[in-house]
Amino acid sequence: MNELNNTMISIKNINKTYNNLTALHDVNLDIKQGEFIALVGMSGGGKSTLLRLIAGLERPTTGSVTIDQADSKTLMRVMFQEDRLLPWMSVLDNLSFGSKDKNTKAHAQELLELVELEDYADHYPTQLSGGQKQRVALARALMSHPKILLLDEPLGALDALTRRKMQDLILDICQKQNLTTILVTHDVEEAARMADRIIVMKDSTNSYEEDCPKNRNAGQIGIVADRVLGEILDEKRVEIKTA
Amino acid sequence: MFRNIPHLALIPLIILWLGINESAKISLVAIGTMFPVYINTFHGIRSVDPDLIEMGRSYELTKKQMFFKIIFPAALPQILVGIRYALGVMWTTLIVAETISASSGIGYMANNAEDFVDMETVVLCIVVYAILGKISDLIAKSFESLLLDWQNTGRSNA
Ligand SMILES: Nc1ncnc2c1ncn2[C@@H]1O[C@H](COP(=O)(O)OP(=O)(O)OP(=O)(O)O)[C@@H](O)[C@H]1O
Ligand SMILES: [Mg+2]
Repeated sequence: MNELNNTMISIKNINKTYNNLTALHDVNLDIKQGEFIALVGMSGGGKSTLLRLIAGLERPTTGSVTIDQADSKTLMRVMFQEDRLLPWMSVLDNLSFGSKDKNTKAHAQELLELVELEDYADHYPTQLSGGQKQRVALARALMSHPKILLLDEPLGALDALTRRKMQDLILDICQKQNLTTILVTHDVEEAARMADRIIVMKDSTNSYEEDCPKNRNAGQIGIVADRVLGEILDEKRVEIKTA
Repeated sequence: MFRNIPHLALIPLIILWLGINESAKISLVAIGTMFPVYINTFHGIRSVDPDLIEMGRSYELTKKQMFFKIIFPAALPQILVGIRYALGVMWTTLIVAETISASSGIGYMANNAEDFVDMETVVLCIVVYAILGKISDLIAKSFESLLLDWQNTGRSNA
């Protein structure tokens, strides 16, 4: 599999300004095919903006995003913190949304099984819990057989237990389907658990990155998370002063 | 500004323009129902969740698909509120129009009966209006529950 080292997403000299506000400044980043990237950083650091630029939902002021595929848009799916399901459609219809395939229904059922919601096909989003809704949103994102998955805090609104289960589910799917994934998260622990590479967004640019060890254990996750957090907060060591 | 004029205040003007006939009544009802429908439709479309529209954009929907798959269904509850309200306005307008500027109809009949102190006919007219109003409201309601059945699926009865 020499494919593994191909660059899937190439971000070159990206600048993005809103009026006078610089959201992104000189961002350069190459993402390999099959790689799992976590984008972390302070609120307002430009994580979502970068993701939206890659998704094509916004245009860079200068610079370019290149996706290494001819028909790139259909290969890319975005998932957000809000499920963005259509409330007037059943779960199954939400999955079929925007799909023209003949075998849509069967494929949707398969994906519902994958996210363990096969019994909820006829339910409406209002009848589901937050975690269930996010699983439907994940299944919907997978409907078009994407090659790239862009996740903007998809687990941000979930409780810790559901969150942990979803992390494993997403990791499992991304590995099995060899997806190139970018996960925006404010949770450094989550980033250290899931990502192959963690990118810290600070002062509107990717200021620091860290490769994560393969098959990491809890201790290694903690160390990576600590180091990344230190980078974000610009503190090598937090001193607690006692009076 | 125009919409701040109570449409019933236009009755003298419309009588002058169109005379006392069907088209005067219909015009009055049309004017009276136009604004609640328009305002609610406008508001419904304006308040569609921008997140859903962005979701549609990421699916590269065409303008037409965007309207029929996202904007219209999202605005529909508000549009139906406008229609239901307009139905109420419609009956009120019709009663007033028939009472003041008509030579036939239930309102005319009630007005006539009033002149002859014919209590039974007056009461009958009121009852007929009540029944018609109720029926149209039921039709509107069944439209709502037909089109918006997803809104009645609270988690409690899941
Ligand atoms: N549509 C917009 N118009 C104007 N300014 C914007 C817009 N979108 C983002 N910004 C600004 O760009 C900067 C980066 O925003 P962005 O949403 O990318 O941050 P973020 O890292 O995702 O933050 P968070 O962790 O809070 O989600 C912020 O200062 C924000 O106010
Ligand atoms: Mg964000």
